[in-house]
This record gives sequence, structure tokens and C-alpha cells, in this order.
Amino acid sequence: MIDVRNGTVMVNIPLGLNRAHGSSSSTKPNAAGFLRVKDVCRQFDSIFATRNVSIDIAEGEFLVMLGPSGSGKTTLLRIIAGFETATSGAIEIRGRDVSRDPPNKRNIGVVFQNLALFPHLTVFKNVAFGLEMRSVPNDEIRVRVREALEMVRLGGMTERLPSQLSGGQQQRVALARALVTRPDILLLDEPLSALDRDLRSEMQYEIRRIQQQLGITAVMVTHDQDEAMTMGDRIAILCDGQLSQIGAAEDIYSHPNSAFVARFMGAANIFPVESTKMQNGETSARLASGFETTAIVSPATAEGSLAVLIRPEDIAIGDAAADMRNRAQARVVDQTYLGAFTRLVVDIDGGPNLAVLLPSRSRPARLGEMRLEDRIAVGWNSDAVLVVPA
Amino acid sequence: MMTKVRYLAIPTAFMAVFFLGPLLSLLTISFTEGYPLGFMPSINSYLHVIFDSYYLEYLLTTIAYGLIVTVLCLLIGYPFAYYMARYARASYNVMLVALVSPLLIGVVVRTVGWTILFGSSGLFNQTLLALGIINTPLQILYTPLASTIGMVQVLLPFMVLSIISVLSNMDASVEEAACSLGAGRLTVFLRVTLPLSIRGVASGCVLVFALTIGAYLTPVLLGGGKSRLMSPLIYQEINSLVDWSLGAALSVVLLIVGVTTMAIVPRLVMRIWRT
Repeated sequence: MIDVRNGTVMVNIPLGLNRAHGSSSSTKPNAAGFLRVKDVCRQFDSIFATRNVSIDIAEGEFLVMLGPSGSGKTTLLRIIAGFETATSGAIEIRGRDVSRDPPNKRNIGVVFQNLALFPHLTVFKNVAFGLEMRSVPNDEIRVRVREALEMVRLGGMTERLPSQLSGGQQQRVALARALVTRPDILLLDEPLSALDRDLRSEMQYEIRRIQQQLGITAVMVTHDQDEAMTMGDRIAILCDGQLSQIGAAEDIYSHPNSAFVARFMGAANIFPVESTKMQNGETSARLASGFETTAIVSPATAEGSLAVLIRPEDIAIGDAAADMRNRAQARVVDQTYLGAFTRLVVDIDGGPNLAVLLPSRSRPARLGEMRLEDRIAVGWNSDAVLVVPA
Repeated sequence: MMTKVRYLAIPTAFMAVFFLGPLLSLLTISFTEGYPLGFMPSINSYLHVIFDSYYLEYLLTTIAYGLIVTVLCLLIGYPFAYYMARYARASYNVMLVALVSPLLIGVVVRTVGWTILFGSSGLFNQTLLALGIINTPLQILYTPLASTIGMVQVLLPFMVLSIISVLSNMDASVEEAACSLGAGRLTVFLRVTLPLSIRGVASGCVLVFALTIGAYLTPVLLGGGKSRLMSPLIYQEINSLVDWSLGAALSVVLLIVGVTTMAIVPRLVMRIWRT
């Protein structure tokens, strides 16, 4: 794994795609800060599209920028690419400040949301375009284009026009075109949003495989949290132009630093907290409804309004609830079969409605026999409840 | 099926009576001699038009005039169309009105405007005289320059609208893709933007060229009587010299030039840019 990232496991990779280091830049590549986003702001009139975002991306890392629409993730990607200029702050690639460089001087590869293949050029010419721009000799262009197309498993379609390819094939051409020039950074702007679900997960795997094989540093934008978790080494969550949290998927999922992040990374029961108190070494959170539960306070929590987060999969029902630190009686108000899981909504006596996610085949719960309005016991432990800034 | 075709009945009848009819009679007259006094079948008019250097000069001048106006419209129109298609947001409608406004004003009114601006005692000359740049007024009105400027102004909208219709359907991220692959601005334009908008350029050029070589009023009013263009010549042959046969033959030749351009140029351009 580490070897791949350092770019030393290159034997398995098509020859032409080995990344030639050193010649283009005299600066030594910095493993920790291969791509540096330094305090970047982008203002449109008085509105900040991006506000004081700093991210360090290591060589060979796959960073996914995740956020709802309008969170500034695409703007940030476009600033890294050079299509837009930061109002303040800087972009550094391999230790060199490229903030004032146009995109054609940054040695990047971009896969666009709508792919942006050249409709008037054949697959071969599309992929060869970047090599022609770099004045690569024709013989070498032929070899490298063929290798790039083989890498994306699209040999033998060189003379077709993009319009004669399926959506997945076009995706592969776009990827080959972006990678054939051996860019320092691969940028992907919601590249899979146009594909249907099967093809989408296939391409997620493909992009990840190729990225790891080449050891290329990649930044991808998406609004799909599953996609972010599938593909990213780290995920950066953006909200209103600011970086909310950055880390590995598991870190963010288990330790969200705000209610926004928790809501965005998977379903969660989130309720505003009225007050917290310490009792016998335990924190207890009191909800607006007066309902109380023991909880763990997130390190990110400071002054200000708070919320509790209870993941639906951490809640037990029936007999299994008996051993839990927090217990309550509840009424089933909704039941949805989702295949592997079944989602219940229960109304806790004197408390809020809770979503509960259970494996559909869990026998003790006897989900199949459960009816709406049935009364059941629910329970959860302290470590299932996290107090975070609202 | 029959019901659908019925919609075309009235337009077809209209075109047959008022366009095809006159065209056929024009063609017939061009193959006579001395019409309307006589009605002798003859190809003498065509022999005159083709082999008499006097008429050939008119034809070549007209084609050259058409090419110059077309090229100027393209050079002025393309950047304008590009700006409108890519960057104009709120200003789009204002620019559109400014663009087509010359068409909404009659040719006579427009010419009066040009006269006020470019006449010997017009604003342009008076300014230059007052600044001491020239001693005697420049003769601009009633020269080929004036008629060229006038035609470019009138026909610019046709060029711009043709190009806009293609550019606004073109995805701007294709240009960004080219740029990210290492292409500079000029390369992006030559390799991506222009090839992808060449349909609009071709149709704009054909439209402007055909309208220019057939134009009568603007060249006559602005260019004066000395311009050697086909339309004024045809008018003169028919109305002053009363040689309808020759006038008709000249018209047919002009028509052939126009139609041939329309048929050939777009195909040629496509073929060249496809490679």
C-alpha cells in the first residue's frame, strides 16, 4: 500500500503511464504537502463561495470533497484546477505556488461532470490531445494512447466518436484522456453523477483501482456520501464554503464534530439539547422534551447550542434492550423493509421519535411479527450517544 | 398522413404563385432576345454575360464585394457572438436589441444617418478638420468604403445570430477540458471552439454573402452610381436600357453564384474541419 503511494511499485503498470518525476520541477516532492490548499477564499460580490479553506493532500492520496450543493466544493476544485482564481490564499503543487498559473500550466488532469469529451474528435484524438499539446512525438503518442485505453479497458474503439459510445465507455475515455499526460494531480468533478447505479459503483471501483495502480494524487468532488466513503482515503466535508471536518471515513462517521456532519454522513437521530450535566462521572443530556439520556461529549464541543446524535444502528429493541444503559418504552409508528435492514420509527414515551435500523433477519426482534402501534422496549448505551455542536 | 400534408397546401401555393412562377418566367426571358419587344429564342444574352469582359468585371466585383463584406462580418461578428453566448447575462437582451436595431430602421433613414456622419460637412469630417488632421473633407460617402460599412452594419445580425445559435449549444467545459490538457487560448480556439462552431460560421457566411451580392439599395444609396455591382446593373438593363433578356440572364447568373455558394461552402467547410 505504502509502496504504491510512493510510486515504487511501478512494474505492473503500463510503461507509458509511469509518472516521470523531477524533470518538470526542481522542488523535491513533499509527501505531506504534495497539494496544498492554503487559506483559500473565493468571493462573488459579498458572498463567499469558499472561505478560509486549508487542506494538505499527500502524494498518492485520494481526497474526496463532500458537501451539499452550494457548499463550495466545486468552486474549490475549480480553483485547484485554475479555472477560477482565489480571491485570497494560495494553491501549491509539489511545493510550487501555482495560484497565478492558468490551467494549461498546472500539469493537471480533469474529469468533468459532463465529461466534456471533444465531440468532433475520435476516441484516439480525444486521448491524444494532451500529448499533442506537449509536443510528444507521434510514435510515442500512439503507444501511450493505446496503453491509456487499455488501462481503462477500452481497447479497440479508437476510431469511434464519443457519441457512438455508451455512458460508461465515455467515462473511461474521459479518464484515459485525463491520465495519459501523467498529470501531477487528477481532479474529478462529480464524474459519475450521470451514470445509473450499477455502472456507477463499477466506475467507482475502476477509478479507485487505477488511482491506486498509478499512485496518483486525486481530488474528487461528490455530494454522495456512499461514493465518498467508497473512494476516498480521506473525506473533506464542506458546508457553506467552509471546511467542516476532514478525516478518514470511519473517523468522520464515528466522531462527527457537528450535527451537520453527522446528518450528512449517514442517517442519524439528531435532537437539540437543552442542558447537560455531569453525574457520577457520566454526562447526561436533557432534550427539549425533558427526556434524558447518558452521552459522550465530543471533543469538538464548545460553548453554544448543542445537539445529541444517536445512530439508528446503535439502538437495540426487545430483549436486547434490557442490558443497555438507557432504556425506554416506545410505540412503533413506522416500519420500512429495506432488504438487508429494516428501518423502524418508534415514539418513545415522554421522548422524541427515534429511527432504528435493524438487520432484517435478527430473530430475537421478530421483526416480521411486529405491527404498527405495538409497544416495545428500546435501549442504547452511553457510547452510542454523542453530544456535538448543533 | 394526408392530414399532415394538408398543412403545407397554402404555403406551397403561395410559393408557387409568387416565387416559382416569376423565377420560371425570368428563366424563360433570359433565353430570348430583345424581350419585351421580341420573343426570339436565343442564348445571346448568356454569351454576352459570359464572354463580354464588361459584364464579367461586374460579376467579379460583386463577388469580391460579397467576400469582403462576409469576412468583415465574420471578424466583427464572431467575438461579439462569443461574448453574448458565454458571458452576457443580464445584458443579453440589450445586446440583442442593439444588434438587430439596424434591421428595424428603413434603409433610407439609415442612409440619412450615414450622410450626417460621413458627408463632407458631416460630424466625422468636421471633427478631423477642427483638429487640423486634414485640410479638405475626406470623400467617404458614395465610395465603396461607405457601401461596405453600410452592408456590414445591416448584415452583422445574420452572422452573429447564426454563430450564437451554435455557440450557446456548445458546452463551455469542453474548452476548459482542452485548457486543462495544456492548450493555450489560441489553441483552444483553433482546435475546439472554432471547429465546434463551424456550422454557425458557415451558415452565417453563406447568408451574408448571398444577401450582399443581391443587395441593391444600400450599395446604390451609399456607394453612389459608380459602383460596378450586379444588382444596380440588372436594374439599369431592365428599367433604363429596356433589355429584359440581358437583365434576366444577368439575374440567372447571379442566382447561380448565390445558390452554388449555399450548396458548396457548408459541405466544403465541414469536410475540411472534420479532419
